[in-house]
Amino acid sequence: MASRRSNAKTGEHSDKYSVLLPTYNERENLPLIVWLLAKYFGESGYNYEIIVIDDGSPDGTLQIAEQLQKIYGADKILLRPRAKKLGLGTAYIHGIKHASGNFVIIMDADLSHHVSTLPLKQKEGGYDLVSGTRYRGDGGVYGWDLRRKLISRGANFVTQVLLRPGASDLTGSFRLYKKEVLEKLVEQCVSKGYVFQMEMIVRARQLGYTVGEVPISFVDRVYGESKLGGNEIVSFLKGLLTLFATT
Amino acid sequence: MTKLLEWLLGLSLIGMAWGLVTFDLLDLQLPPQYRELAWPMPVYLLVAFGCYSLATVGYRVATFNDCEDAAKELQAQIKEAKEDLKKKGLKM
Repeated sequence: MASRRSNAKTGEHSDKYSVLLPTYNERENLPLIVWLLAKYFGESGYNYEIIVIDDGSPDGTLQIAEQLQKIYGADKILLRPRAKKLGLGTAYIHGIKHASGNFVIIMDADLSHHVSTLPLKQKEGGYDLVSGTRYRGDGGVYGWDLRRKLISRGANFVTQVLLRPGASDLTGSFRLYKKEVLEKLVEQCVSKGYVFQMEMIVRARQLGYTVGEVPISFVDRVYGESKLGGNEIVSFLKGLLTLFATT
Repeated sequence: MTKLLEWLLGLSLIGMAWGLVTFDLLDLQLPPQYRELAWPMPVYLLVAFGCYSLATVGYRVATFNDCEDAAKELQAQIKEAKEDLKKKGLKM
């Protein structure tokens, strides 16, 4: 047992995982997600860094991030803030520039995931991209009513029929990419918001990258609101049709 | 080729094949059973696809996992995290 642990540490010493955390008003969640990441990466022995990209949050997210940096060290917590809310794609571009890892993990700053499943799966198959899915294996959700489940599964079904993306969950944002793969994809993708996440996987398949999946338990936001109203559905459909017509 | 173009191509091919058989456009003099079978095919296929969709989505909604354990675990970890961070000097 002991020798396996030390093999894990020395064997993977060349792999480093950069976690990109774009934040906007995540004052409550940020310390918790950083703590969880530090815990899981610490336990698994993987080398990591967390890059917090705060878009000028008015609630003091950046100040909390600075405190966390003092606690965990400036080599583990990097702060690369921006002046105002500029969107996900540019946040990733910005974050990649400062990432020293060879793998990049992207995730929402909400508290839904066990992060060590990603590197594990990647090593299993040498994948270019590993995506978390709520729809396969023992993946799932918590605290969703029937309406939300229906909309989610319905939307995913339409997505599968129209795009045949080769991945079961496109709107998730819990992913691991090889750094050069993420760079290439961010260059190519033009959508905004979560449609951007969808486009990334669709383009990845088109470019011939290999995509692995891990089941994730999506526990609903502990703080803050999760929105799924009529507006969101309409904008989802618009985004889906755009992808349908352009990819 | 975009997905849209793939669909248009596929639908055009199927449409042509259907038109060919149903309206005997090439004057092939096919037996009447072929024409009678082909004529309502588009509707049959749409209905079949509709049923398949409902059944699939229904099944998937019914078997959508509820992660009770993950939620409990997360709640416990949040508590642990808050205490630990307070100890380490975080002022929230």
